Amino acid sequence: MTARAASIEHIWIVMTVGAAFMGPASTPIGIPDVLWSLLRGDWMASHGTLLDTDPFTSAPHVAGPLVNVQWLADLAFYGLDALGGLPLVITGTALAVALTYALLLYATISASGHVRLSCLAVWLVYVPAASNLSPRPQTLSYPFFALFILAVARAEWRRDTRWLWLLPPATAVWVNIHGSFFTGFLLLGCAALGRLVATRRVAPARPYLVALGACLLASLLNPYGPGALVYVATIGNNPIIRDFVTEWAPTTVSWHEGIFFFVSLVVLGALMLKSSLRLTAVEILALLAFGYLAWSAVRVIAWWSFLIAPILARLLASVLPNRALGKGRNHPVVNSLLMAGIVVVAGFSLPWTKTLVPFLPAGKQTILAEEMPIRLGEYLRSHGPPPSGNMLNTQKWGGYLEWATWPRHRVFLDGRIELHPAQVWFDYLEIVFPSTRWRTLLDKYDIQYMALATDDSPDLIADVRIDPGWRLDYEDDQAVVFSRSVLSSAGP
Amino acid sequence: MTYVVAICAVLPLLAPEVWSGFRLAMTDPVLAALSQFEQPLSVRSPGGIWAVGLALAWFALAYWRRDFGMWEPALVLIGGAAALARVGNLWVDAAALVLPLARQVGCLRLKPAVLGMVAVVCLAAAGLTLLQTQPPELPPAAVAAVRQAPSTAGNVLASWRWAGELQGRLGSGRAVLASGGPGTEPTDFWLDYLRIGQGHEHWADLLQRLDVDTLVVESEGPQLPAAALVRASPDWRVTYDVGGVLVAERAGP
Repeated sequence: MTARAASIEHIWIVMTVGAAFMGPASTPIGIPDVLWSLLRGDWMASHGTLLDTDPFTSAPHVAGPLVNVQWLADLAFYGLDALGGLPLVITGTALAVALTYALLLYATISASGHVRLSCLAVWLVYVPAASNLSPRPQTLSYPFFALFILAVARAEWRRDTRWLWLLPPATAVWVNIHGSFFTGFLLLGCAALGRLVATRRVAPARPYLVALGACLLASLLNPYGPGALVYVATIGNNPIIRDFVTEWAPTTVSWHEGIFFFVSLVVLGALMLKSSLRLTAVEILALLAFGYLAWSAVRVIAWWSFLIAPILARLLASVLPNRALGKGRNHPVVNSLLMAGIVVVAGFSLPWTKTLVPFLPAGKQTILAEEMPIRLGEYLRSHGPPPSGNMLNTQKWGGYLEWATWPRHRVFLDGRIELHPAQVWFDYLEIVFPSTRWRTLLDKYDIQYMALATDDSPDLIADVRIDPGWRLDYEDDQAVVFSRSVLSSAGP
Repeated sequence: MTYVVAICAVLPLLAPEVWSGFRLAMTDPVLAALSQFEQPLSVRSPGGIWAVGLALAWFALAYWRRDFGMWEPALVLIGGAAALARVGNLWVDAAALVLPLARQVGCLRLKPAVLGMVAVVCLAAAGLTLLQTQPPELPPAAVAAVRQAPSTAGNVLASWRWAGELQGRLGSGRAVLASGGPGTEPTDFWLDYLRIGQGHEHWADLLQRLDVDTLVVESEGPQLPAAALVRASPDWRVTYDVGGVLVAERAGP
């Protein structure tokens, strides 16, 4: 048996998966979600139990025990952090992204039968998802969705239903990683319905229906049982999340992800009209279902981009002339050297080595993004809180500050919107606006000191600066810290 | 007949502009905070789902039959781009969709009864959209309350929806701010307008700076905080407060 010589196709594959790895591996942590994930993982590991309350924020919480459907992701991130710090958290996430695109590429090749066009399609769909590949539980869920796409692609285009058997065990893990597991159900549902519509018979849809049923049962294998499903079904209806959280906002051209989404629609539409290929009912239903979801919320664009890769490759293969798809001459030694070169470049994208790259932009050379209030965190770590009362913080910094300063300081709010009643969020918005009630509201929540972003609430900061009841304790070009000149006796 | 159906089909896209005016512009983040017609098109926009549904209907017919002229997708794209840029541009989308839709529907050779039913459904949708997007009315009694205000030196600050209408009814004797519509004032003005409406800490100072001595606000809508502040303030005297409209005049300095 002889090893297969490295071909140009191998270079395309290594380049595609390598590029998918390099992006997130070389990007600093900019989304704070992973930081409270690390904190929760640490808490669970040290207490040996799941979190059913929230010890990290001081704002009033909604009644009932906390549902944390991403507890396994929290522990996974914590494990990486304990082994190798934040650089390993970033590297682990980059590996998950690379695995996602490797599975997606396999699915795309299975659907189109063409390696280079599949690579091209995967590169194209990487663009809309690129801003959504940061370390956080959602990113760990991508390989599972890619596995679902692969299983459906194999069943549709290779008559290979064996991959469907992997989906129930994958669901049992996914349901404990992130609430996006329902997207797998949706894809299987589209596949089953598509087969039913196309053939008017149940038998062709049976493999998908069986897999869907098994996945539904597997999704109950979590600490909350059906509660996890209820959580996922209701989270999108939370009015604060729907109206105030940017990534849950409806997709428009105001977002660059939105522009990419609409461009992807135009490209797909143009290819469909030009191509003689007829998409299957499965593909059309999946496009409609995920297209609507992606139009409804910016954060779903990542899943949309994964979904369209195999369809895009099939359409490209049907539109481009055969000459454009032809194979070049193979030079196995050169090919091997090129692949080794790609691996070396990927090695230089790692958090430990990326600073050796002279042309890496300054904003990419750090582990934490420049927007993170690192100096503020250092100040708070070295200065204790007042003897009583709470801290008000700019909400977007909640994740970083609790990671950097808890338990010495307890933030008021972080990005976990669903933990607090709507009124708390309305009050927070009134304070940072600020409305005429900001002093009363600070008393209501017993706020004794504030850590604020200068660019988020300039009007409030201007008012507090001239208010004799407050004293400036710290200031840099990002943040200010004020504390009460005289401790307020008001309580919540 | 197919052209009549196509025109009926795009009527729901024209309904919002009946209230907001037929203006072609790009979205503006500050104006978008004022009005949903100034926002980029989304799934929540009035007429948004209908607009995408029509584009999808054209696409489905063209894809199914594989019979279309290049001018058709070009028009659909132009209309779609205009609508995506700003909800208030939906009239452009409506105009651009008529011909492509009519051609595709015409190729279906549907019976007149079916076409008639489609037209009726579209007309019903247009009527519904018209009702749903209708802004609150400015009652004549509220205008009378403004007229009766003794001070006439200062400006009138009214909800942007009523500013133009109010200026028309008051005549040139009183100056109503932003009576020319959202596009006629600078961004700084609208930022102050939003601050006042949402009950900013310095709302009274902002009104002084704008030399406003009469307020006409939507007391049950986005300006609810301002209405509450005015009612409680000794510097303002409420002269009309009925059915979501509050009129107040400056009582103090």
